[in-house]
Amino acid sequence: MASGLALQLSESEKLYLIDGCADNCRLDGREREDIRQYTIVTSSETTSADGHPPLMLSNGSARLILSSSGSTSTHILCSVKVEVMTPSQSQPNQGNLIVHVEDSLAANSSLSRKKNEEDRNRVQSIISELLATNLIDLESLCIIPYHYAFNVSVDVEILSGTAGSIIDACCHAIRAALQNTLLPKVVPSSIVNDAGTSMDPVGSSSSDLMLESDLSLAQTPSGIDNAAVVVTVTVCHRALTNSYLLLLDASLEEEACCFCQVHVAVDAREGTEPTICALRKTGNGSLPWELLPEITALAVKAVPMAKSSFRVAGSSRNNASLLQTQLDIQ
Amino acid sequence: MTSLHLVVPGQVIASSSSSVGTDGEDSFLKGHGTYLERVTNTSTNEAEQRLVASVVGIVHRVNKLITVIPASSGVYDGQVGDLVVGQVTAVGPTRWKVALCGSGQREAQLPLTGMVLPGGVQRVRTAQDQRDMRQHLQEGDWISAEVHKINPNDGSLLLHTRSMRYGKLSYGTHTCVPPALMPRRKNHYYTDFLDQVDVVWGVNGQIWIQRKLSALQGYHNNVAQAENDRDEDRHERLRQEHASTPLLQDDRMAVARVRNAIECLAMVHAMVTPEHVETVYRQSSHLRPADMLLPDNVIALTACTRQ
Repeated sequence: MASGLALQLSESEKLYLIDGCADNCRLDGREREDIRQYTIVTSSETTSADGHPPLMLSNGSARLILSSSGSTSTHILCSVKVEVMTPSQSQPNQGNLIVHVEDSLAANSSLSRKKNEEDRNRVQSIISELLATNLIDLESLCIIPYHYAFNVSVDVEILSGTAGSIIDACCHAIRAALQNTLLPKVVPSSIVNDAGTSMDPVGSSSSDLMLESDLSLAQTPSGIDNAAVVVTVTVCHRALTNSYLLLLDASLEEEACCFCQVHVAVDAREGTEPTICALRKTGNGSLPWELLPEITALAVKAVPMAKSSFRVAGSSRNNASLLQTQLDIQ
Repeated sequence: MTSLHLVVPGQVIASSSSSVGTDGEDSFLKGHGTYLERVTNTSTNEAEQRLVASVVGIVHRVNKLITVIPASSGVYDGQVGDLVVGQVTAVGPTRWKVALCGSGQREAQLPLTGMVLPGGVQRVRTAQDQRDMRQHLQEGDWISAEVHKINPNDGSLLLHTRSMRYGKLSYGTHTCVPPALMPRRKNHYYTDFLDQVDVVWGVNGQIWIQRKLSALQGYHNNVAQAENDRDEDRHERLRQEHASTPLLQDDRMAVARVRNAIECLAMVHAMVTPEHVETVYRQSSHLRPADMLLPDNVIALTACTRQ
């Protein structure tokens, strides 16, 4: 529903699917709370034949592939670009992080008839609303208060979304990309040059910055390990018993016959109680209020599973070599 | 066909050497997707006949005939008599439009006369029948049908469901594999496949899996009923019972397992034949159905198709 790709299922198929969810045996045999394993390819892991990282102009990148069958896969590409800018007057101690999601598939899809702006930007608005402020510590992006700060722009490209669960996949891809981003160490050059004169590093004539070219001094943005994780809970309504079923990691068929979806951004750091940073409901069904605690509890429970149910491509080359070509670089 | 050999255009599949001047008997017959090339080997002064592939595909060898089955995955060419599984996309004045291959291809047509109506097979279709079309098949319904004719002008297919074996499919699940991976067999409707499920293998790549009808009560009861019950009516009753009876969890797991077995084969681009599916199914008995789709397991389970 969030992606704009709408499958058409027959009424009988929908009935079969929902009855299966009630029996705890979904179309591919998963239980209601089972999450599929996804594959992450990041810039630090893979190198192509000549030894260069895949996306050379970006500061960090990641690719996520979630493949649920031979013909369907959700494929997300995420790239992080860092530049230096002047912080805003209202928040002089903070840098900035922008998330932009390009869902060209929904925009050009021939399956969905209404290709208006709202559909195209749907994924973009959900993700930026849920994640943008909860990913990294913005104050660490500041170089010189009032003058220089980092502007991190995260670009996500949805290459294919036919395995469903696009929002969760984007979130994991963004997280992996940011964990592999290197912020260059930047030093105001006036401090370096004029050793004897009076220091006024924020004066206009000496406001040049010098980039440390030593890569070992580059850092990853702080706070990314505690970043929020988005879990999408899909709600299906079973007419026979008038009950609601909650699913995690829905495939496209399940999203096509679901009642509504709730996207929950959970902050689950070590040592503290998990907290909910943001929550958004999509879909046409009206969610009964009593379901909300159950939904959020399920989302919180799913966070450790979601953070760990992936494999990094390239680590098991010995037995995955055949599928490597499909799941990795093509 | 014992092994799958992928070739690209220009790749030599086989060669036979014959001495210059004589047109020696070919040790192979060339089929579609190949061409013969005569090359003179200058060092030994022998003429060599080489069979070269002209398309990307899989080599298929039957006795002396060598063909290359093209690996174009999306295109399904219909032949008269094929069993196809498709989804209704539109209800027209006298016919339904059925999509056979996702949304990219031309749609096939199922005319109203091609469908068996209750009450009489040879009844003339009235205007009331046209208005009632939607009660039989709606947009989004899955049907199994046979290709009746191919329109010579534009190549579109005309279907019919004039048999008990075809008709609307309900209360099951479908999978899609590239049409190039579906073999052409004599029988495409497998009942009691692996003693668990009924499978309809559409030649266009769509496969429908549902529970086996012989597990239903009505299957055995009707044997004892009066013989003036027509076969079509009995089948119709059976179908309705199947559509309304919920499944047990074991049956559901069996359906999920068969579906995953087909997906595994499609992932490694192996031919999706009932034998292969059966092998993968049996080998996966120690795994949960959901775990069958992990990459390592897919490779392990489909190893039998690659020996």
